[in-house]
Amino acid sequence: MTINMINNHTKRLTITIPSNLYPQIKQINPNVSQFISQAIEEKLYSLQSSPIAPLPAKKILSLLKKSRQNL
Amino acid sequence: MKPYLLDASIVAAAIFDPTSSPLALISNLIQNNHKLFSANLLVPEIINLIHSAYKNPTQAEKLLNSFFQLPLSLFSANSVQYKQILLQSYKQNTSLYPTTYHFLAKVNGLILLTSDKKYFHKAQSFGNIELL
Repeated sequence: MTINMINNHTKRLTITIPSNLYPQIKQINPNVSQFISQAIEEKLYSLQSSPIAPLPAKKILSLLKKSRQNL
Repeated sequence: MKPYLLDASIVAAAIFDPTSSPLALISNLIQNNHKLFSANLLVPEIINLIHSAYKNPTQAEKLLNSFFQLPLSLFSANSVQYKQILLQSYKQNTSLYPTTYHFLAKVNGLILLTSDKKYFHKAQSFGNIELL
């Protein structure tokens, strides 16, 4: 799936769905726009509510040393 | 309690691990109205660390918000001090980053608090350092 246009003024997106996915989506929900919109909402919700995994001290130190090389 | 300057290893542990001893120590310092010090180098270090460790931008933003909520006073080095830091890092055979925190702790009469064992053992003789 690709987002091929974002209009910042109207806040509208044009999404291109691969032809093999379209009939599958249509089967689940005949209203494809609604299906995509719900899927995006659900994804956003899961991202916002998912807990932040703690990092153990050893991992923090090794990441710190690694990230210093890219700073 | 001694006046500490916290390096990135301590602050990162406090942000990334809610069960860590650095978080308990920082909470204790804040509750007892102690000032928290670090170096201005800490900001890009923590942002870069969040970027490396977390791929989810929402989580990364949350972590960055927690970091910015910490009441830290940040020291910066001047050009003369940076030369001294560079020479000190050659002398100790240590990286410039931890040496910067350490140097700024020492010149400001503070104790560098680190959880970096390797750095601690190499730089212990410079003084003003404790390992957590």
